Amino acid sequence: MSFLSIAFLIALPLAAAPVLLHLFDRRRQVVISWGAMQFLAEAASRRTSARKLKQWLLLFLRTAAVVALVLALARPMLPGNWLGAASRTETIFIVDNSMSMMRQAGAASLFEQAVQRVIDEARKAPPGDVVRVLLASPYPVWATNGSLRVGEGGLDNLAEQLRGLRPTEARSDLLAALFTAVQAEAPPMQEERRIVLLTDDQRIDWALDDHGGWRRFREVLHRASTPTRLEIIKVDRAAPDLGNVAISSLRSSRTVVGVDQPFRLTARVRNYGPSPASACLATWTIGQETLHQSQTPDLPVGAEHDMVWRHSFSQPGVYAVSCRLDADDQLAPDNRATVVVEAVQQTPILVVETAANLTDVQQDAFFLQAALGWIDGAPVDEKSLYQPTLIEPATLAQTDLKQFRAVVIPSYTQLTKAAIDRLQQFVFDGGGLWIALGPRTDVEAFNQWLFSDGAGLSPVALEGIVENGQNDASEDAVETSIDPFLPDHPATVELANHEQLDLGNVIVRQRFRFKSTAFGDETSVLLRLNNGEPLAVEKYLGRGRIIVQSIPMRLGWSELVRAQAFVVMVQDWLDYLSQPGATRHNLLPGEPISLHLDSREPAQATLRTPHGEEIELVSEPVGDRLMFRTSRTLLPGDYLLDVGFSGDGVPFHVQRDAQESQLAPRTADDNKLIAQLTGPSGDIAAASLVGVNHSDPLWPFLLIILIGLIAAELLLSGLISRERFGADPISETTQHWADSPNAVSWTDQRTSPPHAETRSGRERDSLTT
Amino acid sequence: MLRLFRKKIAAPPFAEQPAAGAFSPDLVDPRVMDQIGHLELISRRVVDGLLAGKHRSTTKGGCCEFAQHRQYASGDEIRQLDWQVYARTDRLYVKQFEEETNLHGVVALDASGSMNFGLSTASKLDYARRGAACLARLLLRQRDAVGAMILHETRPLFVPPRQHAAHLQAVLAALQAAQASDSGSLGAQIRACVPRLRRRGLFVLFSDCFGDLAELGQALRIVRARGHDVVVMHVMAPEEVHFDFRRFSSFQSLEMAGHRLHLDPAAVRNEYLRRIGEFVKNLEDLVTGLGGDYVRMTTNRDLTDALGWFLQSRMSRRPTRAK
Repeated sequence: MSFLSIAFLIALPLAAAPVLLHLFDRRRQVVISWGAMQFLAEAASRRTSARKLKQWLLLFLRTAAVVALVLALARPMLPGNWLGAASRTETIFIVDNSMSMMRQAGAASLFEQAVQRVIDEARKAPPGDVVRVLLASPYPVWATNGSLRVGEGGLDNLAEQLRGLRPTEARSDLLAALFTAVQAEAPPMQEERRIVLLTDDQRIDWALDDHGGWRRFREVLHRASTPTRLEIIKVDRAAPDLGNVAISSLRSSRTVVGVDQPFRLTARVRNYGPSPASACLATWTIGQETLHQSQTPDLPVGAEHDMVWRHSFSQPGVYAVSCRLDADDQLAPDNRATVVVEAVQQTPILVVETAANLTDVQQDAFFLQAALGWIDGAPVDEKSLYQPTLIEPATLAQTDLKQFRAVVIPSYTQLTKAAIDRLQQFVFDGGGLWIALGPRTDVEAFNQWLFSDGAGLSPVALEGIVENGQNDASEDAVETSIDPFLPDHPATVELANHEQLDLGNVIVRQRFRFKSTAFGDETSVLLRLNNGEPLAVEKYLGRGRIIVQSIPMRLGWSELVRAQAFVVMVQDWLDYLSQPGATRHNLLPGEPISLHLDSREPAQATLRTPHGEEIELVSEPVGDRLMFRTSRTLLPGDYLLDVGFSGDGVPFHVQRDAQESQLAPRTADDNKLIAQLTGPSGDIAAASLVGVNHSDPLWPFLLIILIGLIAAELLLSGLISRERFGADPISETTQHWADSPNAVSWTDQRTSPPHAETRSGRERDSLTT
Repeated sequence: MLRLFRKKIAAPPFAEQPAAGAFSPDLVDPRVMDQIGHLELISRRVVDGLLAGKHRSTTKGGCCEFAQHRQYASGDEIRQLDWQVYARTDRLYVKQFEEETNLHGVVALDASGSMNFGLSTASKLDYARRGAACLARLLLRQRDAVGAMILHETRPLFVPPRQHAAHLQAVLAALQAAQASDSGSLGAQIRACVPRLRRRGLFVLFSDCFGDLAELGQALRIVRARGHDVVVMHVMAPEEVHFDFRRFSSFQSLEMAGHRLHLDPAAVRNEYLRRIGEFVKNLEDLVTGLGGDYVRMTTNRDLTDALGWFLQSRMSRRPTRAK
């Protein structure tokens, strides 16, 4: 027997308290000089053994009550099955509900087979056992409402709950699910735990690269308070091997496009199967409407193919564009991919013109406006997406920046402190800022106010103006040009297309040089020169972004503004800078949905998840606007936020993990790796870890015994007390006095002599005669 | 370790017991006398006395109250003839009258050790002593002779009845001198003193009557047989009646040194109460069976009440004159 709070056993000597008090009471005798000794001696000789027995029993009850209380506080545990005739087992079924479990195997999918297997296993369990079901994807979550006790009603309830479950398009985290199952609190009176994992045993779900996690799992398994047995049931045996072609990604060249502005959608198709895949039809749909169809080529094993569809929207709105492959393969869900594109009428841009008094060509914003399709303050094309607004630096501090997505300064000179503060708040709230340095840039003021030792808007400090070949005579022969090969950054993906764009041909004759020591962690480089020096750097501030470019958007220092790539660069970068302020409709699992409202009245919305669940959302204030926000986006798939007043719902899409399409079961090498990580007992599938001593709590029974002892003590003490003090004493006076109604005080009744008489012999005589 | 529990216990949970004999010098409580002074202690039996008083005499005379007619016999005084009867019946009858006489009362005070008991009240001896003194004063006030008898095993004391007022001091001195101690047979002590009562009168016993009830009954029968009116004032302490002791106690006998009982009082209470109740009932039956008066009084009761009720009951049962 063990104790959880053994310190309370220190109080065990208190059990002697009733005995000591009894002895103390006996020894603390009062000496009374007594006259009526003859009656006392006779009465003392008649004490019965029954009375002594009751007193000793009372003493025992009190002592036992103290012992029971102390032991109950110490919380003893009894080993083995001392308290139960039959051992009871808790069975936790971990059901793999990843996308790979959607594969069909005969008439039912693997997931349906797993659910049926859970029901069958539960029916085999003896009555009294407890069953719980845990889903593994996208994160471990209990599928049953608490523990269900095996019985006719419990099994029906279990089957009803399991039939409502659906697999997800995400991966399973089987390691996390095992953690959750082992660490789950065991129901009382359960002596053994059985964890049954039902999975198709896909390698990708086992988190084999998390070595530390497997070692921790081993420790947790050994520290479990209940003997735990692990079983793995594979449910993929009947799945036909038909190969698998999937759309691994679907991307849009822009997620925010103008009305009637063409954009490019790229669907990457990959053959994940073990055999070559034949050509199949790809269908592009928006909503339920099929808009385009294309054909995929024959794909060898592991080959990829990009299908491109150019499209434009005639009306503003948010559109979910899907591409679906009509391929007969094992895994149908990955034949479809979705991307959400927002079509807007215009994107307002604010341009700060520092040379407004010069001619149009000499103005800083001339080439920028030209790149945006604006000449002489008017759009060349009515369908121009960007709508630039020109202001002078002096009016920047008074301008409401919230109506603009981005602010561009084509040739920075100097700004006031108020204007800088306003820009800082604008970027912090999600706006974009593009600063191009020019010949009138005040280096001192820039470093002091815009860099501000790293706390300002600029990610870097300026060193000074550098002319081509100024520092290194050996480089005179090589002109400084822009290196376009930085495709990793989302803002420069299109610019890296060297075959179609001429960015690599742009010669930079003069530029500002950044201080290299001023580069921080939050600084990234968008463009570099061919000598490796950064040409454009980026900084994240709050929700927004800032790009600082070391050359102006005008002629003189470089031919950039004349380059064909400048138009692409301006539109891509403005699109990139505008993204934080726009609603993100394409999310990763867990990324929050945030939708700003133009209305300032509190509103409600309903979010429909991929499983059809409806979540009520309430708008919350953010600054002077309202916003719907939720992070319940763990399930990959299509979401629809029904705001109510906007007609149709706003679509969102959470991307699935393309690796789940890689149908590769766990190999023998993987089993060896797990065996190495989890210790000598090796294969967790065969592991039966019974080394943990199981014990049952004894203190509930002790508390029940304590209540019984206290009740018995009260009854017995009441009985003894009644025996001791229940008898009436004899009358203090002659009975006739006591019976007289005037017996209170004779002196008070002197005036009316009482009729009571002292009992006399005469009275006795009269009574007898 | 058990020595810890043998520590002496201080005072008993009752009021301090007054020292033996340390009673108030004024035995005749003025307050009691004020309350009962207007009453009379009437003997319910005919008594012998020399002086005219309130009590019936065994002597028939002609001065007071008519008693009976008797046929004339030679030698009778001619003036005692009832001529009216002679005129009606033509026979000679002599009128006889009852003479009233004074009472010879004796208050007997038990001075055995058990009378020394008193925890929450005065001792039984003090209570009895004050009661006896008040009765003695009452008797003297109504021109009766009164004497005292201290019943003690080794130091008995007898004060013969006298009528004059100065005799009260002798009676009170005897009562005050009584010291409760020792044991002994109350009946034997009574029998030893009774022969000294030469005239029939009133015998009032103040005692707790603990001891052999048969012997006491025999002694009282002797007293009764000698023509005395017997009154037993049964004095008890409230603790003896209720026996409400809660803790383990050691009961030390007041009559026998060294006789001590260690017990749990509550455990024997029922049996004790049964036995003492039986004793009291037997005593009461014994006294009333002899034709005497039995008065039970406890020391927590007002003495005025006890004596007042007793005297009042005696007056209400005053014997009628000869019919």
